Parts: sequence; C-alpha cells; structure tokens
Amino acid sequence: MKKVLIVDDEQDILSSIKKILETEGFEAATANSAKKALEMIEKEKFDLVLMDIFMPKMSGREAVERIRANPKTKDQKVAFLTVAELSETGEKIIKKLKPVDYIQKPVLVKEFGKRIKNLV
Amino acid sequence: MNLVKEVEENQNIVLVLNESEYKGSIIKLNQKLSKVVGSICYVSITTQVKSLAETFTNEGISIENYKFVGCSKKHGEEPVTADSRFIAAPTALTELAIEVSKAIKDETELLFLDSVSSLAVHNDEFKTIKFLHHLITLTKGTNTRGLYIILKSDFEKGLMKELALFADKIIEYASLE
Repeated sequence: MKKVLIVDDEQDILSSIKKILETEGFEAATANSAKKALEMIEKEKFDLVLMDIFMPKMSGREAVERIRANPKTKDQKVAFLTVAELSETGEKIIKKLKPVDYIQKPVLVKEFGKRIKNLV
Repeated sequence: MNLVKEVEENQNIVLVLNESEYKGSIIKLNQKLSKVVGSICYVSITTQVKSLAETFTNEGISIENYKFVGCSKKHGEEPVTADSRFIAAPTALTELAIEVSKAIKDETELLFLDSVSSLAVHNDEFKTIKFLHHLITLTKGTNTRGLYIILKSDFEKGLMKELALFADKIIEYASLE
C-alpha cells in the first residue's frame, strides 16, 4: 500500500485529507509542522509528501529546501498543497525545489484521489 | 530601477529598506508617488497619522490624494483629512482588512503599507504573512497596486522571506533611481 505523508498546521485539513486518501486506498501519515515532517522523512521514505507552504515557524518551502539539501532525503517526492496563489516569482522559487505537483486548497474530493494516484 | 515604472508593471511590490534610511526613504517615496498617483491609501501601523501628515506637508508632499488609515483609534487620534480612518490597534487585522477592502472598492490606485515590519512587532510572524497574503489577494482582479514596506533585517529572517512567493516583485530601495 502506498504511503503518503500530509503536512499541514491545520488539524481539520490533516483529518479531511487523511480520510480522503484512506478512502482511495492509501496509507496516510500526518505531521502538523514542518519540523515534525522533517523528522519523519529522515526516518522513513514516503511514496509522496503533501506539504503545505505556509506554516508557523518553518514554512513548507524551507522544509523542502532542507529535504533537497539532505543526501538521504533529496529524492523524496513532494507535492505542495496550499491555499496561496503564487506570483510568477513565487512559482519560479517553488519550481526550483522540484515538486511533482502544486495543488491548491480547497481540494475537490472527486479529483484529488485521482491526482494523487497519478503522482505516486 | 524606476519606482513608478515598477509600480506600473508589478501589482504588488515588497520594498525592502535599510533601517538607517527608513524615514528619509518614506519621504522620498511619497514625494515621487504623490505627483503621479491619483489616489493613495496610506496605512500607517505605528506613526500617528497627524504627525505623518504634518511631515509630508512640511516636505512638500501634497496629501490631497491621500486616504490615511491609522492604527490608534484606542488613543483617540483625530482624523487629519475627511478620508482618514482609524482601526482600534495594529492587532485589529480584520478591521484593517475591511478598511483596505473599502479603499480597493473605491478604486484607490495605490495601497501603501507602512510597514510590514511594524505589523510583525504587534502580531506574530505567521499571522503577519497570512495577512499580507490576504491583502495581496484582495488586490487581484482590481486596478489597485500595493507597495509594502519592510526593513531589510526583518525580510532576511524567519518567515518574512516567504513574501517572495506571492508578491510580484521584491525590490531593494537602494536599487531605485
């Protein structure tokens, strides 16, 4: 079973996305901060990490920078999941981190599962 | 780099100032902008609006086209122009968003936020970033441009770097003509 790590500071988001993914046949783990996510990714390789960009203390962007800088985790598949509409500049910054996708919240339940299946 | 041209070409700009040049830069920026921008909503987080308006007038800046939004209603500050508005405190972000929305609805040409750094003193970083994102989203699809002032020392640390993700351009004041 493919395993996905969801990273978001909002518990509601974590719970609802976890539910959607489990319904779609994935195993879903959660982290409510970038710091916790990095600890989990250091210990285990996930088929996909869904990373919120805007989180307190450490952003998802910075977390992925660190993932890419770590030889052990640099190939971890990451998709950004966020409510933020990025500027052109922002898109260029994010692209450099080599995400496999950029998904805007709120997610459409019907399409979300399909989209994740295509990424893992 | 020409400020007016940059404002024309980029809807939302974060302008990074050195702390030492802050006061002088604010005056110079407004000396330029007041001559070419038809309407400016000037949000002053810390400086009292009355003091700001006096300084501007003394420096030859016409405040005719300015709508000031001050953050000291609690302290009973008096409006300097008919258009002045006040919110309760720099932490009253919902109120501030409402005032900015009104300004945008009134087709204000430029939203000038002085400053992101001051906002972050009164609200935590995360809240400040989210609020900035909200303001920038409010301007989308409208003709209102946004100029958001931040001190270099604040921009280079913590979450403030993330402003680069949703602002159209980050400009260092020193690079302006």
